[in-house]
Amino acid sequence: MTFRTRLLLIVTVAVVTSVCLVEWLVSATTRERFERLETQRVDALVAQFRSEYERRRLEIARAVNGIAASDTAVNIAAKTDYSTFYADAASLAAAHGLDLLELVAADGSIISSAEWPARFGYKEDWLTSRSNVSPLDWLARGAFLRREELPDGVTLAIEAVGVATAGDRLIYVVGGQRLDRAFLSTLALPAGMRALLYRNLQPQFTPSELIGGDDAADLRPLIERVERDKREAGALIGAGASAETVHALPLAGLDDNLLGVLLVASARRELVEMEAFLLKLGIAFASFGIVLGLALSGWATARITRPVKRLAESARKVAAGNWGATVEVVTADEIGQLAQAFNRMTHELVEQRERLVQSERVAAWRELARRLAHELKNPLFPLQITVENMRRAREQYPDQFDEVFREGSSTLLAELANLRQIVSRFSDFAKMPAPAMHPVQLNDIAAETVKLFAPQLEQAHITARTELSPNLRTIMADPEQLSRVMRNLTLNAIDAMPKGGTLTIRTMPHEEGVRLEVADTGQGLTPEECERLFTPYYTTKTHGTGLGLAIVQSVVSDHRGRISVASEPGRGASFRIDLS
Amino acid sequence: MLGGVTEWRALLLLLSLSSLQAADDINAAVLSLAKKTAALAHGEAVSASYRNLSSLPPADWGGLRGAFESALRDAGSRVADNSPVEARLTVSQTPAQYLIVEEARHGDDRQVWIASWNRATTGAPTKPAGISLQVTEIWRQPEQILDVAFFNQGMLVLTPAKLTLYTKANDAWIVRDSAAISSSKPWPRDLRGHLRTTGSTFQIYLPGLACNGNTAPSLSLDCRASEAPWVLESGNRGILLATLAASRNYFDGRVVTQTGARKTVAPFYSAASVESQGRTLWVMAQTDGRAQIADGALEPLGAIPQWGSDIAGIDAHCGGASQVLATRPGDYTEPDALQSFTVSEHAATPVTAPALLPGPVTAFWPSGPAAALAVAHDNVSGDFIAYLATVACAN
Amino acid sequence: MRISAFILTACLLSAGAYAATRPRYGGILRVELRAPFETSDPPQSGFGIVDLSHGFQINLWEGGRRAIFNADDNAPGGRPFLDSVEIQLSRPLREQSLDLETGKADLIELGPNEIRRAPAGRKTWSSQPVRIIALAFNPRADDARVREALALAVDRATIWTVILQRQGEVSAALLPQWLSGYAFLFPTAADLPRARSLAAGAKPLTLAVGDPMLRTIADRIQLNARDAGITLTVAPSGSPADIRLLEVRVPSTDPARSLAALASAFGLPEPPHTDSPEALYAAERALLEERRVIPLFHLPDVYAVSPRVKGGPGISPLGEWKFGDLWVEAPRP
Repeated sequence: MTFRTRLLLIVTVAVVTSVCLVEWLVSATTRERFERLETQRVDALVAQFRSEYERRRLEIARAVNGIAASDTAVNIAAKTDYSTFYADAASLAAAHGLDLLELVAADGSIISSAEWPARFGYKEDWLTSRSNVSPLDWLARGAFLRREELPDGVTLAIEAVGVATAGDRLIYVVGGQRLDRAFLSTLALPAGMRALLYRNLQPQFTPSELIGGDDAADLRPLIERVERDKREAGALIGAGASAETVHALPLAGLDDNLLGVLLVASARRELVEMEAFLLKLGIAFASFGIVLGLALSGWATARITRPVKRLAESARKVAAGNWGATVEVVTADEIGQLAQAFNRMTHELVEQRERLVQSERVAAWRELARRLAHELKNPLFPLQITVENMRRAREQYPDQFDEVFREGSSTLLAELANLRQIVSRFSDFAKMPAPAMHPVQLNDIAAETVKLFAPQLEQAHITARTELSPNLRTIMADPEQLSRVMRNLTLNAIDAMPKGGTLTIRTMPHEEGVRLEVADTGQGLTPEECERLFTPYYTTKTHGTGLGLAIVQSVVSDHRGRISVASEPGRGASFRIDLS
Repeated sequence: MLGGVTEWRALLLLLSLSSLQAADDINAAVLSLAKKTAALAHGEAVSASYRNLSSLPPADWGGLRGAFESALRDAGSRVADNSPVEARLTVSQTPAQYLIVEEARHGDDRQVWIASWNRATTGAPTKPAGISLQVTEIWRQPEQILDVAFFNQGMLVLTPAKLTLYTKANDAWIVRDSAAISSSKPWPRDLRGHLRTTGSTFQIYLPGLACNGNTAPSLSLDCRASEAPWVLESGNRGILLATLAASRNYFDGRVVTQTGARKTVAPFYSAASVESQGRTLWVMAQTDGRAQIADGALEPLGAIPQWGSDIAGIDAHCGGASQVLATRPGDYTEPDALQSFTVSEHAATPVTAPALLPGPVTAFWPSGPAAALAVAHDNVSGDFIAYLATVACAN
Repeated sequence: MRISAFILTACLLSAGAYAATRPRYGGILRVELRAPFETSDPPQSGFGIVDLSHGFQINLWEGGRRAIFNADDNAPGGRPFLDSVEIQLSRPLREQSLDLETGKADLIELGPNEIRRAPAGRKTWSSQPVRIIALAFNPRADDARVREALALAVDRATIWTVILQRQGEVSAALLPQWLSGYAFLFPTAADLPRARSLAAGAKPLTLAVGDPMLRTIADRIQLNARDAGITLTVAPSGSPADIRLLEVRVPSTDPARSLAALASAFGLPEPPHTDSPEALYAAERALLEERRVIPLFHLPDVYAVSPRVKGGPGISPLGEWKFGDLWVEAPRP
């Protein structure tokens, strides 16, 4: 994971976390505020209902008492035959804005009924059967809730009882208004709220008695709870956007019997919608934040990582050998200082490398000079001796000169040949040809090499051991050069084991290529020797040109392979070549 | 006529075979019921009760109880209280008949019998009473009377269908002759007709028809279609020719005065002249309900707002002034009244108390200079009664 | 003399009316009816408007709204006094009364409530009780016990006293008392205990009411039935019902003819023709024996009439319109 990716990730997580946190806080606060507001609204509506209910009670009581005090009612009370008044209640009710009105004789029989005209003559026993209630007590009682029987069923009504008297005669005036949908419609309901009325007029729960809504089944448990407990209750009805908080208010009648339940429902849709809105807003903000964060972080990380990237690129260049790579210093911040430091470092590296190259070049030249001097000095010394012997012989021993000359010339020729060979080897190293690639089975080359060096190995008391993998795949390589590598390594191993030992040649598949290991059981190499082992003209031996392993490395390199050495002093060395 | 509560089908068959004629009168009806009751009682006494749901005259109703009990005794039974045989008699009626419905019960045996008799035309006339205005009934008959005129010993009665000549014999009017009157067109509603006699001759004015006739030597009548104006007299003073609107019951307002002047006034039902302070005034009962007072040239002077539609001018014998007899305003179906007034240029003053009549006045014409003939339709009997109205002087 | 004349004039003016005793030709009689008569042509049978064919000719007919009849100059019996009769249809009774009060109508119908509210001295015309209000069972209603139970449950007297305001008569007979003379023989009293015993196990019944005026009576009958243990549902006319609350008119002053006509109207067998009251009673008794028809009341046609209308009554005992002899006072100048 790149630094930039990590930075982007961190910024994104930070933005999303922040947005979520804000969203949660806003939602929680909103919900709390909404709940509080909803409670206030429900309380206000309940208070409004109570106020409206009380106002209706007063109005109804006033209207009924007004009728009772009217000349019409008094005149009726004064009569003995009520039959002519049977239709009067309807007009009186209409004139006084009452839905229900009955004129009832002192014995409880209906004189006239606005709501059920045909019911004249029937008894309203509830008016007269209360032994502890005198007619005038009704005036003080005010309006009350009552179950009223109508031709098409029963209804709930707010009713009041008035008494019209004429001398010692009296009639009751029972009037009221239905507590129904029309009454509910008088309540000023805020948006999202509704008022329902369940009329508890049937022995069992009856869905049709629910006015103002058609979700009786949902409300039934709450209504039944209020019926059972006879006190206010609340419940959350429904789920999701259709959920409502319902507050239920018991409505008691004349004898404190529960005649109705007022339900004030407050829709949670608004809250849900607000929450959904907030969520969407949060998501939008988060998305925007993420995008913005990505952009900003991209921009910021680009700003921040571009120098680092350049730095890395330059480092890679340096690693690749381009020690002159530098980083543009744009800012003066830490990155800029880092870039400056990098530039200083590469500059110093270049300088050091140049110095090193120069010193190594000098050292190589010195080594080359030493080698050349060493290689050339060895043949030259016999040449000098031979020539001096021959001059001495001719001068001192002319007779033996011929003999000496013959022997001396042979020696000279031999040494000259040796010199020519030395020069040829150096020339060969310099003229290492490009490999001619052919399919090569490394096991074959390894086996041929062991076979080639078998006499020398035997002579040197070295045991050759081959561990050639049968699954070794054929590779593309120059067989002559690979054979030369095998020979050089074998010679190197023989040289490393002057007292004999074991030479192990091992091949094996490696990754997508092959691996060749040539191990000896010689005295081994120090780490310093290992580091310089492939340096041309470097040798730990007293003889040789020091080009063997350099040639090996050159061939391996030309085959895009890799060579390494593992060794510990006293435990031999193992050369490992990976080719593909 | 026998009927029972049970076995209705058998009863119907029985009824269909029996005589179902109504009884002749209440007595026959009572008798038939008494016989059946006695048969049911088998000699036992009968506890009877009575009630009247009809318009049977009280005299007849009062005799029912006695008649039934008498008939019961004749049939072999008797009336006694607390008898196991109960008879409840209810007098009832239909548009055509009186019924006596008897619900008889003897133990579990319950019977219903109904006896009936046809309703006869009954009812006595109610005589009008006059105080200062004498109203005398001179003739009555079921058929509508349009006018009545007297001459010598005879009386002509004009009806929509005929003219009848009566002569008096033994203080009673006897039909002497009659002549039919026919019109090519149907008579208008509220038909009006007027007789004007001169000696033995007479003229009849009818809507679209004019007749001349003579009572001597026998009643003769010659009628022909005519739109000629009617002659309207008023006492000895005034005479006016007025044209009756075709097919209507009022004069269309085209009049010719005594001077021969032609004039068109508001449509009126009747007209009368009256003398006031030496001037001759005309009063016309207009169709709008007002009585218009006009001078001799029929120029309007004033109005009397509340008279009936029929007026007649007479020369009163008392006070030396002429007077106008007028009906009172009201519904045509309500009993009317006549009252005498003197008339000034702008108002009328009653000089007599109203004389009540038994029904609305359907015809009202001057009958000689000092009397007027009023025909009232008796609301009770349905008869048309002709009265002669004269003003009776106190002295 | 002048003072007297002035006094007379003043008194008469204070009476506020110009009237003439003799019928006045001309004028329009404005009639208002509750019935809509929503037909394309005037009715050809029945009472009321049909009777105008005697003396009047149709001039305008707008079913459901109004009709105008003009006097026929060639009418038998002479041209009617009225120039025309204008009839406003579909007029509620309450509004009819208001129209009469305010002078917008001359002749209106009076229902029981309007009779009760009518100011004292109002001029009214009433026919004989010619309208029969009765319960008629559907032929499928085959439970004689329930029919009898309902007949015994109905409290006619209370309905008559209160709803009908004592208008007409309580009756259990088809023919009204004035026509048959024996209607009182049919018992009208309710017997609730017996009704309850007869109605035990009765199935629910439906009662159809065609005329809205009868709705209150039907509602009361529903209560009476409930008291007897019969579940009775009042349904609007046209719906299939076990019972119908009907109004049928007596068509003739001949009792036998009327009985036959009523039997036909109620779907009862044709009674034998007879002129005898006793046989007629037996026939009527037989018709009602199975209680497929339960007569309840006999009601008259009652009209309120403007004081300006003269020449009445304009209806016959059977309720026929006799407008030929009516006239109206001249408008006040």
